[in-house]
Amino acid sequence: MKMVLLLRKIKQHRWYKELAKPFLEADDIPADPFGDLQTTENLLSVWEVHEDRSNLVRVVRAVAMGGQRIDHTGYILFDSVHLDAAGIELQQNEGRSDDKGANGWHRDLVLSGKKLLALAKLLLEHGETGTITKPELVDAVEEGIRSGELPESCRKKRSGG
Amino acid sequence: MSNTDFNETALSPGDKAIQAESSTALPQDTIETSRRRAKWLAALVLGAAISTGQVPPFTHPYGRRREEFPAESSTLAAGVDPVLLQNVKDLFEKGASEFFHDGMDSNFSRSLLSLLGSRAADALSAIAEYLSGNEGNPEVVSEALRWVAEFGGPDTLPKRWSILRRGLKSRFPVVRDGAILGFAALDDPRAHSLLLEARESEQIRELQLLIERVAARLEHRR
Repeated sequence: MKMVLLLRKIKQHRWYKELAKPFLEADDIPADPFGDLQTTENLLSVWEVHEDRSNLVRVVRAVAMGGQRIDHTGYILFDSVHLDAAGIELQQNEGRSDDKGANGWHRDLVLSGKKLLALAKLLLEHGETGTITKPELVDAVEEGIRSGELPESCRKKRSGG
Repeated sequence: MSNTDFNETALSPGDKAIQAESSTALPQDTIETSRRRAKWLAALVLGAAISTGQVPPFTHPYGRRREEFPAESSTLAAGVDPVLLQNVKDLFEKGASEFFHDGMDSNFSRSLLSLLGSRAADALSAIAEYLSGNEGNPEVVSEALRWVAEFGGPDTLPKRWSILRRGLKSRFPVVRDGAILGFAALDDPRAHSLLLEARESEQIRELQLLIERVAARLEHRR
């Protein structure tokens, strides 16, 4: 499998490595991160991020636009190379975000219960978390509307409408 | 006896802490006896310590609990409507059963905004007072800080600022996360030095990076 970076939307505080460390040392993992790994028909939505991360904010913006309003948005990034070891299949399925140009970066992970557990563990061990703040996303949405990457209708989400 | 039928206005914060930590299975007279004994012993020990100069006088005996969200001033608590304070307490307790997602409304956020919409300044005072008792579920408090930051105009900014500033000093990383994001949402360069100060004492790597990210943006906006 070609190495790519994958991104999943999360709430960052559920994934603090320092707090997960005692669990990992005991060959276990905390339960909170599972709250961010909800599957639909055994598929988990993720997005591909370029190796130089040049599309990181655009991808987070696409994910954030799926919410009711623009808000601070947490994410976890991980190297797809770890999926092989866990036997997790990666499918290329078109996304459905407002950013049509970003939808080609959408992927799905095919999971079972055991694979979900393995994924949570590999994310805690190898994942890198971050948060793009609301003001940054508001700016990115404005820029997206100006450049034509996003439709004008996205502006109403700035104020939660 | 449940917490809800306890006469809140007749108790000091220290009494509330004792009551919260007391087993509800104990008979009331046993609790009262042990409480009197504990207070007598505490006074005796504290008095002896003060007389030997080991403890500065006027230290709050339950300072450990209070230091998480120290009260802004003694007049704040005096001005808070007890009914509103109870509403805030109920709201935060109900919020503990919810699961929050970035960018999504919740029953908690809707109720919080409704409360702020009807009683903005008073509601903020009640929230500050509630948090000063350090009673909240950390995840709910964190969520509240994110919403409180953005609600209202310049007239309520000092109160919101004060609530967020206290949140930066919480012992719970998730609460600090909410406070940092609250300041990020304010997008006010005056928070820059406050965040740098918080960065110095922050131990969680992810929060250090988040503070740096927010501070860098505020520095750029100066």
